[in-house]
Amino acid sequence: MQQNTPNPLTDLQIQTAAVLANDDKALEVLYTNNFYKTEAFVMANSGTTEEAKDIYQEAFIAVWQNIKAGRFVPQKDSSLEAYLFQVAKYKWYDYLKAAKKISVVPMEDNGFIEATYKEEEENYIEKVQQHLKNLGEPCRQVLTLFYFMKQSMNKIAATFSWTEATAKNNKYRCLQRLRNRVVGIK
Amino acid sequence: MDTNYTISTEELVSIEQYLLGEPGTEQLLAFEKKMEADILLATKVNEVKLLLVGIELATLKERLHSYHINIKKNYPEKAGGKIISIRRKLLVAASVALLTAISVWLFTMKETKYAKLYASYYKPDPGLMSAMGVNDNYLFNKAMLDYKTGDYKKAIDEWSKLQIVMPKNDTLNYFLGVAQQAHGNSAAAIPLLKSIASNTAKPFYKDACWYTGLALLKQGAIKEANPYLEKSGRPESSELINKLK
Repeated sequence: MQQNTPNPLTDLQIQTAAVLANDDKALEVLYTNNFYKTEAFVMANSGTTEEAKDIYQEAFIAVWQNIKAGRFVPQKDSSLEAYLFQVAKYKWYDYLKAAKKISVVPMEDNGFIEATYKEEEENYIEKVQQHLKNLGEPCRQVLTLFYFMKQSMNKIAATFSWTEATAKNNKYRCLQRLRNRVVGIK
Repeated sequence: MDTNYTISTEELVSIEQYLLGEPGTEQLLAFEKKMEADILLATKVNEVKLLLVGIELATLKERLHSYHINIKKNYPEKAGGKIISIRRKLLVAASVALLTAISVWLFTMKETKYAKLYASYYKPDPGLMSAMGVNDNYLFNKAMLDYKTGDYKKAIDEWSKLQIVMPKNDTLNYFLGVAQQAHGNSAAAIPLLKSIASNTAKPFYKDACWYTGLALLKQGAIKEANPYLEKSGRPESSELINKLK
C-alpha cells in the first residue's frame, strides 16, 4: 500500500499514544492479547495461574508507568507486546529468585528498569488508592473520569447534569477531600 | 513525607494546570521558575503529582481486574475456569457440531456462486501501518486501532464523525469504505470505494478497485465488477475474472 504523506506514525506509536491516553480499548486489547503467553511461561516455570495473573498485572502496571515516565520509547523494531512479556519474565525470575527457587536471573532478562518512588512516596500513593475507594460517589467517579479517562469537564458536567462550572468546583472539592483523608486532616 | 501545610483551591488549580499542561509552554516555564524559588510550592507540586498518580493507579488496577474477568468469561477453560463434567462437555460439543452442520448445510444451499467466490477472495484490508493524510490524526488513529482489532462498527462510528468535517479526505473515505465492507455492508461501502477507484491519481486507487469489484461481485453485479477487478492489478484478479466467465 502506498504512503502519501510525510511523518507517518507507526502502529507502535499509535498504540503507545493510546496507552498513554489510557484508552480503554487499547489497554484491554494489550492486556487480553498477551496474558496467555505470560501464563504459559509462568506455568512452565514452577508457577500457577493465579501467580501468573499477579505477575502479569504487576508487569502491566510497570510497563504503563514506564510509558508515562517516557522510559519506553517506541523504536522501529520494538513492540509493546514483546516489552510487556519481557517485563513479566523479568518479574517472574525476580520472584523465583526472592523465593530462593532459582539462584540467578538470566542475563537477557536483567535489563528492565522500573519507575520507582521513594518509600514515603510509595506509602502516600498507596494511601491515595485506599481512600479513593471509600471517597463515595460521585467524587470517586469525577476524579476517575477526569484524571484517568481524560474526559473533558464539559462531558463530565453532562454526565452528572451539572453546569461546567459546578463540575470544575466539584472536581477540586473532591481532590481536596481525597488529600485531606490521605494526610489525615478531618 | 511532610504534608503539614494546606493547599488552597487556587494553588491546586495552578499546580494541576502545570502537571497536565503541554510541556515547554511559556506559562509552564514561568511556573517552573516560580518553583525553583519556592521550595514549599515545589513540595506541594510533588504531593499533587503523587495524588494524581494514586488516582490513575487505583483506576488502572480496577480496569485490569475487569479485563481479567472478561478473559475468563471469554475463554473459561483456557483461563482455568470451573471444571465442567466430561458428559456435559460431550453433550455441548455434539450439539454445537450438529448446529454447525445444519448451519453449514443451510448456508451452502443458499449461498450463490458469487457469494462463494466473494468469500474465498475477500480478505479485509489489513489497515494502515502508518497514519496518512488525515489532519485529525489522533481520532483517525484511534479508530484505526478499532478497525485493526476487528471492531469495525466502532471504527465506522468514529470515522463517520470525522467524515462530517472532512468529507473529501480520500484516506478517510477509503478506510470508511473498507470498514463498511468488513462489517458486511457492501451497499454503504460501494459509493465510498468508487469515489477512490474513479481516479488513478488517488491514494489506494488499486486497493479501492479491488474492494469495489469484490463488493459488486457480492451483490451479483458481475458486469460492473469486472473492470474494477481488472484495474486492481491484483495477481489473483485474472483467476477470479476467469471464474466469473
